[in-house]
Amino acid sequence: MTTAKKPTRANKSSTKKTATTRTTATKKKQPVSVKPKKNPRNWKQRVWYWLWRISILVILGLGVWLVYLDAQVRSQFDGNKWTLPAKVYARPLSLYPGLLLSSEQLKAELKWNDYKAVSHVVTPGTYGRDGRDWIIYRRAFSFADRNEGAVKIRLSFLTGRIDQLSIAGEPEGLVRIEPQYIGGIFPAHNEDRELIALQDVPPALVAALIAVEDRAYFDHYGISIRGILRAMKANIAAGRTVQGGSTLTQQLVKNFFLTNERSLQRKVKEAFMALLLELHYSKEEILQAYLNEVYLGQAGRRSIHGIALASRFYFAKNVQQLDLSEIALLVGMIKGPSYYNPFRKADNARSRRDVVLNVMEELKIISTAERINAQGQNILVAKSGRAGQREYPAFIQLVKRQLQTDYRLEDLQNTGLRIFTTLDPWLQHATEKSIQQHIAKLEKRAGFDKPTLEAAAVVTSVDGAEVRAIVGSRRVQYFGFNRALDAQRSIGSLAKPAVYLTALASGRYDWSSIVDDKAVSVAGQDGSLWQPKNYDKKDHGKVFMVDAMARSLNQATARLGMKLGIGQVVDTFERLGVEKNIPPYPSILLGSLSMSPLEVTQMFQTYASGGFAMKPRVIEALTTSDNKVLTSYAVEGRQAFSPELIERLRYGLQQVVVQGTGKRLAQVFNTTKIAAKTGTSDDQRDAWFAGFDDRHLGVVWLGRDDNESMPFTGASGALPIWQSIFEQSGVEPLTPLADLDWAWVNAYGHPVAQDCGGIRRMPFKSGSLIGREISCGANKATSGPRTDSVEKEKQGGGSWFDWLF
Amino acid sequence: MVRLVVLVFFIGFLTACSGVPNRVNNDPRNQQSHEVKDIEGSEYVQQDDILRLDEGVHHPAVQILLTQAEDARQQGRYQQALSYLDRARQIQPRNSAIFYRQAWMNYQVGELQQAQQLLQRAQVFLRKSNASYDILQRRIKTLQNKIDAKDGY
Repeated sequence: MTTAKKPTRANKSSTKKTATTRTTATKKKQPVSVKPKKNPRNWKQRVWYWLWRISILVILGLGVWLVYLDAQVRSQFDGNKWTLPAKVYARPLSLYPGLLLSSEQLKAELKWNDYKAVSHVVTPGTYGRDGRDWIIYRRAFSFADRNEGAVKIRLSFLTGRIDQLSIAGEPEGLVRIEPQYIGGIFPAHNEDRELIALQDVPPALVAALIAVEDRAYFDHYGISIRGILRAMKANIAAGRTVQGGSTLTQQLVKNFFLTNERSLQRKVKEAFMALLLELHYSKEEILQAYLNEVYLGQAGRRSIHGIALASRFYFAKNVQQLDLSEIALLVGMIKGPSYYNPFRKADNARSRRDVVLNVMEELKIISTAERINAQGQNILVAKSGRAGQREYPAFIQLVKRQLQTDYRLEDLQNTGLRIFTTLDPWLQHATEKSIQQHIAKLEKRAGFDKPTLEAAAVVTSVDGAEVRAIVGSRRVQYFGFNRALDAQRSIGSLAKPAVYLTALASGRYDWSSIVDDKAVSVAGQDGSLWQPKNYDKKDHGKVFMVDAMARSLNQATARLGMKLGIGQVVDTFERLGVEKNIPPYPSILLGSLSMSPLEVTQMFQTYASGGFAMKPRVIEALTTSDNKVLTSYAVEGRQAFSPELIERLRYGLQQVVVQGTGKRLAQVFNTTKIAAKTGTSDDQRDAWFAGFDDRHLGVVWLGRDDNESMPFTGASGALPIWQSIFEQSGVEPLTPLADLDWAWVNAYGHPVAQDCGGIRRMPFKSGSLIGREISCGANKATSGPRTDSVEKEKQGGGSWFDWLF
Repeated sequence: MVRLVVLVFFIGFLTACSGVPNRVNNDPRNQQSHEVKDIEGSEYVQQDDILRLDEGVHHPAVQILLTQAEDARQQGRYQQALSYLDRARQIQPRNSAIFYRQAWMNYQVGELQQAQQLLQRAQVFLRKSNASYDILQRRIKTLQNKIDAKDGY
């Protein structure tokens, strides 16, 4: 056979050769022999000749274009395929014996972290509980400081604390639950995604995807002629476009490189790029890219890309945790993420899921029993809100703002940085809930028939100024105006502690000093009069300085501040960490001074930390996407006041809770060891409450965006919100910062010896009582240094005191 | 009557005996750090400087972090050592011994201002009731002198 054919081939080629030679010969002869006549055969040859040349040009052009496409495909597909938004994480929950922790908190944090409660704990991301004993299978995680593998943690509770902790049967001193992902810093197009490697995707999902979207995936070279023909047939039969013939590769090319434009040109480009992609990359690489690229819905400003994020978004689960029904739904949704959205169009989603399951059964990916079982399941989506959205806009805004001082926004949006923050999800949740519940209650009480009130709150740790929670609006999911950072509101009586701190620091005053609460009138330099009144419109005469503070008396505070000198008080504000320019007007003494809740927090932080001026801090560490630490932040801040002075001030702030405007807290928390201050601005436009225990400082603001007045004060409007937050965080009574000397004082504020008719016990600077205590026989009315010093001050007639009359 | 009294006393005695034994209280707020392992012993040498971050006896969780910090320091991963120390601080936010170590580590890496601030805190939170008061006080002073010498504070 073979030998027989050979000569034929040889003949053929020789014939061809002869023909070619003849043509060339004819061509050469042409100018001479066939000059005058137009030979039709020759004309045809010329056409062919030109066609041939043109086609070479076309092929060359196509070649160049392909090279260009090829470069485009490769350059975009190699390396970083996506601009990855920075990922922001909450603080990890550290567990150790002795930690004060409620089982409710542990349960909630596990839930928000997508842990599933199971009866047998065998896979990471699950936990089980038997009374006080818990087993938590912690997932592997790259923390900011090191990578940690998955571990099975056992722990037990005793009286509200972690009692015993072990890992794999061995006692353990400290372990962390991986931090909750709390949002991203997105580029302008707001594309959000989580990357996943193909080997981490359940095989059933891959199988379902291929079954539904491109059955011949592993057989074609990027485009499938059969697929196109099938689609054409179906479309012609239906008279409209009902089926697409695109392969997965083409879909990826379309999403990845091209626009959504429907044109032949784009289609051709898509086909070529698909072929090129298949030429350079393996089926697995392309599939992995597809799974990460695919668009699966919209969540407000964010577009959800990739199955990893989608499974978290729709089901609050890892991809590995998806069951068959969820896998089928997710794959089905690719066809139309908004039409099959399980949140809003459950029926569509359900029927689409069932279609996918049918196809899977048909292709023997699943058994009939599995199909029936999965189709029998309800579509259970993650609760919209926290689990699905799980964003903390107000906090993320602050993160972004603090990072932008050190990093370019572009890098934050593109390079997949990992940002580890100080957010405490439990406290954040408590703060959000407290604000929402109380605003509703207050509006009902005030008879507002539509949403009128707004609120903001900041919670920090007292020692390190780590921001644990922040809410910028009653609409906690709202990415708009952040009142915690940007609302500049009059702080009212929250300014008072600075006045009293100035008094204590001057060395001329103790809490027992008598101050005058007579009506006060100060003439400004422009001739206008400042005549502040007390909230109850009464004069209270001569009172202990501590009572003036606890009861927030305006007249007494104004008089005291004028005596101290406005400049001194302004200086105190600055030392406390207030960064803005404070005009030296008398009215600042009573808080006619606008600040944001975050700025107020920074000021109160100095009281709460024992005298260290610190900026509220949200970032713990920043790493690259492959976990190289770029920056880690630690506690910092200069000492602005001595702990002893702050301890004395704190006594006054505690009296607010013992007997003053925050009295209600003493009953609720069964302790008076809470330091706090209420604030109400003129005409009740702003209600404030700032307070701290031994662990947390909370600042709450309540008001109206139109700056109108409302029927609430700091005590009736903001305090209940603070109370509710701290009821959920738990209150730890304050511990003293320094030792003070205590003495009984008489009605004139003089320290007296024990059993000598003292009426109140008050703290004094350590060592300052020596020689001052009055024995029982002494004349109370004339002795004692305090009144004297005040009198002297009067005669001296310094500073603003001249303006007083 | 006598029987009743005896019975009451007997039951009382039993109750006292069967009471829940005092557990070791692990509340970090109640636990001090000891700068040296055997504070009562006479053998130890009172160093005015630490050699290792994990010296002494601390709350178990803090001890783990100090050990990790020391490992990181020895391997030259100073940033990591600092972040372990800051985690320890978050568990015991007013532990003078931890602040001292943070200051010491910052001094080692040349962050003098930060070291200075942390040392202030170590001083502020050092209580006379602390079993290691004297030694920690000396250590703070020594480090302060070093910072002053280097920075000309």
